[in-house]
Amino acid sequence: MTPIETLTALLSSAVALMAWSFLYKDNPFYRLVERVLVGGTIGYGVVLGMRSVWNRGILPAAQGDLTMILAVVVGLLLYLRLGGKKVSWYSRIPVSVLLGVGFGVGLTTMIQAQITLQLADTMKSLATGNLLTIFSNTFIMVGVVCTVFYFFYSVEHKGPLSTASKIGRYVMMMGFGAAFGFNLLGRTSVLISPLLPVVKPPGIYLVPIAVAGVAYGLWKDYQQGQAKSEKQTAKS
Amino acid sequence: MGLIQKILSDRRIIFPIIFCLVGYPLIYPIGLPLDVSPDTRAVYRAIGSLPAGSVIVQTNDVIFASWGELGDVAKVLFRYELSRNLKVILIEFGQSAQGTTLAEIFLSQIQIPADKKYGVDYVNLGFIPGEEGALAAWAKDIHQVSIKDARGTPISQLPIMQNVKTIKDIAFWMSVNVYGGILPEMYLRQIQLIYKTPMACATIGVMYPTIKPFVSSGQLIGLMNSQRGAAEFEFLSGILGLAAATMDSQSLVHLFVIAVTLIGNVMFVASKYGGKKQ
Repeated sequence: MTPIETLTALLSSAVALMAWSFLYKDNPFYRLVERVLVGGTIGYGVVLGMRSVWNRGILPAAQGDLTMILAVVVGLLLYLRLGGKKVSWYSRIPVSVLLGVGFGVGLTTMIQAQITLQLADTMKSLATGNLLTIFSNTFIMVGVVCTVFYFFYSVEHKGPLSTASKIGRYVMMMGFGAAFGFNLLGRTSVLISPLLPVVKPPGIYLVPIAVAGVAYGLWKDYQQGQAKSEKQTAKS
Repeated sequence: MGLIQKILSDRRIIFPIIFCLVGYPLIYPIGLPLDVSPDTRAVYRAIGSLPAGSVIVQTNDVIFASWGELGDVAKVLFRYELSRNLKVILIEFGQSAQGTTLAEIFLSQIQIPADKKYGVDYVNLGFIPGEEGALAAWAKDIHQVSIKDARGTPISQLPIMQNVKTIKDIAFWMSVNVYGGILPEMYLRQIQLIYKTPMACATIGVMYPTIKPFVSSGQLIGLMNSQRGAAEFEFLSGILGLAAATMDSQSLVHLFVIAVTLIGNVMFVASKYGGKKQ
């Protein structure tokens, strides 16, 4: 391990332990890491955004690209929103251009990609010959119809309609359960990744320091609790 | 009952248990079995069946916070694509612009074969702002939208880009993304539906259910699920990485959560029954 690698491992382990210290309670170490992360991410985003505008907009505009000159001028109109009542309406022009382009480009294929093809996928054949597939396809069909019906409020959900609504609710609960399971998978991955440098040297040498820090916090909390109860006893 | 309830509801006890369950297998691997899902197998087969020299786009639409989940996915996919002698274009259409830097970081971390050169066999085209409009324009004329790569080299000077002018020159679209349905839907609308470019996706666990319907409908060829997808792909491709080594930790944590959920529900039912009796 080179000195740089050792330093990197130590730093990443220290940052991970400082972030996790929040699990005990809010503390200055956690706040330091939080602020560094938020500040760094925002700073990075601003710099990259500015560089992107400079390279793709300002430079070509400065070289006489008429399309880019127009785009930069329209883009700058966004800031007139800050210029008072008389000029602020100009900012609607770039917003309407953005919305118009977004809708124009996206809408043409949206219906097919996200609605008709998905609808078609729920209309599966029940005559497949395979019992498991027949069950699966029936379940999808019934599940979709009942789930959609759960959100149909124009009739009172009574009798058989109430059963359909209930089935829809159970299908959704299955979906939420699966989503929770995948969520757990993701959160554990997020925990594992920074834990990797902590469980091996040199990062593991920082663990006793972190444990000592938490133990000190617990001891201080205990002392403060004791002092409080003593005060209360003295008062009473 | 009261003691168990106290233990299960105290995070000062739950979190150290989770840490031990995650940390122990990382130091002493257990070797629990890993089943490969059909969706990951489909991605593996689709990329593996591309002829050598084909151009593949691997989007890196990720953020720093998601790198724990998608870092291993991006790495194993990239290494596999190079091992199949494919030409890889890394690019980002997401909203954060962090994927470009993360791509550069992982390019510096992984061992790239000596015969694979930047600009010839792979390139990082960086962040393209403008989302759907930019993607549609990029698909029609790549050189018009991507003027320089992430390292500042004009793409007209890169050998890999000489024969790649439009989306029609791209054989496969692999979207590694953190944005759930938003970006895959955008890629499906602008790339898969219009140009019929085969497409697959890899995403974080929490977003997996939002994309899965597109696999069932046949719009996406396959779907990789977070670090588990990476582990499955490492297993299939034989490319060793960190994801497979972390699956023991995943399994132990999941077992623990199942146990805690069961105990919690049994206690809930018992207290409800006990309450009625009283």
